[in-house]
Amino acid sequence: MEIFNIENLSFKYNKSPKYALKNINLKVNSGEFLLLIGQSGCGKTTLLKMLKKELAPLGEKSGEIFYKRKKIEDLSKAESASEIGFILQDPDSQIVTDKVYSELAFGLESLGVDKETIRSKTAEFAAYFGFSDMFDRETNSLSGGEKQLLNLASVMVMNPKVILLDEPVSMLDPIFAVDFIHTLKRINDDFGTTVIIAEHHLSEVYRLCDKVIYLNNGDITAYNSPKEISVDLKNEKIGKTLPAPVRLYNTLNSDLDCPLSVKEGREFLSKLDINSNYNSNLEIKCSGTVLSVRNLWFRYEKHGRDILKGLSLNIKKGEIYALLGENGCGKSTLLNVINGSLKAYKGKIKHNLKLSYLPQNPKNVFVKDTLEDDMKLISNSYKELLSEFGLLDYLKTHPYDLSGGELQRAAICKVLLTKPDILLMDEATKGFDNFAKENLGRILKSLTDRGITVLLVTHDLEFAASFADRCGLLFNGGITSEGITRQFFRENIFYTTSAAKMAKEIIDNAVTVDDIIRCVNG
Amino acid sequence: MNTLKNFNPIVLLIYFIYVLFISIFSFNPILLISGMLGAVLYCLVVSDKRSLLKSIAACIIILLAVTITNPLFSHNGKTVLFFINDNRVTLEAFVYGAVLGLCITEVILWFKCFNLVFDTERFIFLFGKISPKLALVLSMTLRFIPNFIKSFREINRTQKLISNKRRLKRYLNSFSAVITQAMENSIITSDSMNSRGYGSKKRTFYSRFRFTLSDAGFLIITSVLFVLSVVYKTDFTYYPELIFPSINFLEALGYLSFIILTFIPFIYELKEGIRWKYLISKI
Amino acid sequence: MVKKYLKYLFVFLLIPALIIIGAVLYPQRSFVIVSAAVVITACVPFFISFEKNSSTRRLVMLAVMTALSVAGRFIFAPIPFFKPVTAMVVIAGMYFGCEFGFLTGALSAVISNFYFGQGAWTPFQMFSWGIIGFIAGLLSNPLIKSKIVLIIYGVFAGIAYSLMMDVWTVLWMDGTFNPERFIAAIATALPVTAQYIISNIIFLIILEPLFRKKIERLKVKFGL
Repeated sequence: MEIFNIENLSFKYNKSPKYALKNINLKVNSGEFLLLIGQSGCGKTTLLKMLKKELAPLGEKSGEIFYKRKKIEDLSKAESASEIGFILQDPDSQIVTDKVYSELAFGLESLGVDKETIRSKTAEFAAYFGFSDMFDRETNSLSGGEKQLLNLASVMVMNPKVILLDEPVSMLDPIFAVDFIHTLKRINDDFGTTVIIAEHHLSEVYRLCDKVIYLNNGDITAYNSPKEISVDLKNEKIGKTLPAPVRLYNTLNSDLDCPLSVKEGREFLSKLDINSNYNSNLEIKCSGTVLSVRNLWFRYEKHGRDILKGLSLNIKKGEIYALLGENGCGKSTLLNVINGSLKAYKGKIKHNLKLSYLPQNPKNVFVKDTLEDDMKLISNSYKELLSEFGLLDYLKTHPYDLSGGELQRAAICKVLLTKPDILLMDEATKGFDNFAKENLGRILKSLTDRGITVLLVTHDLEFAASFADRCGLLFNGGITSEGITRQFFRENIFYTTSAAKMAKEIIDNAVTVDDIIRCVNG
Repeated sequence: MNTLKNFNPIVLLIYFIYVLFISIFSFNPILLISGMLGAVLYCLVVSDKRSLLKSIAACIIILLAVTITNPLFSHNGKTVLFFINDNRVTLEAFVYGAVLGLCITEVILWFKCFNLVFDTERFIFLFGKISPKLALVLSMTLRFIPNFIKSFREINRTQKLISNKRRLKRYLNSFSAVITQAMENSIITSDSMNSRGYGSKKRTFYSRFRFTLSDAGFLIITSVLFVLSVVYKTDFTYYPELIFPSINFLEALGYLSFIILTFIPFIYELKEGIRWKYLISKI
Repeated sequence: MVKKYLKYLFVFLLIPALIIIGAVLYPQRSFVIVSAAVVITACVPFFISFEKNSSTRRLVMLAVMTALSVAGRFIFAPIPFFKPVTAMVVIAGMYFGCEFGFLTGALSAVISNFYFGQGAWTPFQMFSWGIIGFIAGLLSNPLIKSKIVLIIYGVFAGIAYSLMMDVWTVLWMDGTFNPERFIAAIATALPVTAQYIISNIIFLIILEPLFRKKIERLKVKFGL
């Protein structure tokens, strides 16, 4: 049975000259799991929001959207709220109330459901989503991943027939992101709930979904199953952001079946004629320590547990050092101890250069209403730097109105005005798509050319593998393994890139898709 | 352990209104002293000793200060003790001051008990009974406050590292950024509310509290005690002269009722404590 | 249905009933009873009208403004003299209207007392801050147009808040309005009142233009 039927839908925002959506035709069957991909600004969010009456943007619209053969405008508020669930990107701001149980109850309360029904429904879904032990916790005390799961649970409580999700995992740590996608798949399997998800973190969702829709400039350019569409996207720019096995397949022109998972990727590789060793240089490019940390101990509360336990670290001049580690292992804490915001109770930090710091949320760098005013807070000679970063057109723009990538660039600019020798970066790639990541990586490389040393903490293994000179793993308050990037990823089994996982024991030393490709003969 | 909390908040609120009503309006020293004892004993069981000691110390200071200063403001009364600057200082004013002091300190102590019982969740429940929307606003506000403070700290820390503005300037800049972020995020919050049907129907209010048989029992017992102590009350007169009423059987019943009323939290807590100990010894 | 009426019965009958019983039984203390009752019942119409008509964005904005005023109290705690609550209530009233101003004030009082302890003063604080926000809503036009009016209102708000709380103290202590004690109360509260006035002026001068910009931005960006 079809649940959505979109006919000749076009849409234009009031202030914009061009169409955000162009003549979209789409039928969605009940129980389908659809993935919506496309570069940022391609109309993914607009399309999703058009399907949800309450969130539909203002502008010129033509064409029709039918939900179960009914025009979407004709749905009652209550019908639309309970049958069509929507999850937004930001896990935090979507939460409304202060307690987990009251958040779960929110939707049912709005629909005027009686107290006893709410009691049993919230209990049921708290159990399904594993919130039983957190039922009366403060929503503020949850981690980002738990928050997004709570948002999903609060929508599922209303028993929707379809859930729309707008980049729900882009702000989450990788492990939570995978968890979230699996939960989504489980809902799809258990209840037959239709899922339409827009996402650019494709590692899990791409292989789990039924169909992929590729949206390009407001137009559905391709629509097919993941295996089939992989080939269609081969020459598109978006092809570079597909999961590692798919990218590998697309570059190699094979008539085998397209691999989607690491497992399939390994099978695929084993059928090819390849060099079993990737020759790479393992030379250390940099020398001379600029920042040294010796035997650092830190805890937040007097009687709390130690977050850092005798940690030691040497950062060399002009390198990009990526510090990896699980959520809550103390990576951000370490940066804050190094930059002096937090005080270690034991240990030494030695450096005689200017440090600067870029927080996880680049918005926190800005406090004024225009980019120009903010730059002026630091120094008056900002124009040259801004033009170098391609931001000169945004002088009068409010910093928060910049896109994620632009905002990050502007933040780097502002920090560079303080003329740092060492740049500390906290989770620099959060919420970025692959294009923005590559851009950032190039910028970081260019900083090292100016002699600036970069110490970044990140969850993003692929990013570290592509751009860091050295990597270290922070675990249980200390650095447990460290090495030149290639060596580091080659030796790890779980904590490594999917390319390295595919190539393990097949090709030595290969840690990125490009490495593997270079080893394929012919 | 605070087992009094297990009662329905409405029942508890009514109980506190009963006690405070009589405490504030009766102006009867015997009732006030009984009330103080009841409150102190309850705090002794459920709160930490240091904060209780602090409150008692503050109460003694207030009691003394009000007793001593009252004659300066009030010159009524028959029995003149002495004159200050041609103003009469009377025995009646001293006594009135002492009772006033008792009243203030008793109310302070009962609010201490009130704060021990009424956490934010119970308060939201009470508001929810009058206005579900305001209860929602309270709940949202309680979520926003720690969020805003946290984001202020983060912004302020970042600003401290990258700019060399003075503290006040930096605080204001960072607070301004908090305001902007708060307002932008509020749009997402309202989107999320709308998409979950906010405003589609008349809102119900869900809470985890139920009205049980023991709530009914508590309500009936406290109401009876309240009515008895109000009906068989005794009035003290302070001005122009002190008249302490004599006590017969019915007035004694009134006193007894209020004394029991104010000791209920302590007795209940004690009973539960003993029962718990007994249960543990059986395990 | 019965439940629903019971709710209104509680508000509309119990409180007046208590007042009447109190006034008859305790004639010496009737002033206290009446003042307490007036203050509590004054809030009720605002609560009811808010319950009936308020859009989602307005509701969220109310929570944001209230939270900002209480959070501001914590944020500026290290800096002496800086208590932004009154200024925030005034800004809420002048930009979002009387009812909004009243509610921001009243809720700020309840919520900040979650952290500093509820007391007999809570309803009076609710009422005093509420009224300050309410009047700011009435004077919205002149307040937005003229900085001088704004500063005068800041001074007025500081004094008014202090006076209202003093009246209550005196009524409670004497059972009637005792002018001598009132003057003494004003005198002892003078340093605190001065603090209120100074911090009101500083915050209104600094915060008001910030809010003006941010509210305008919100209007442009999200079409409110």
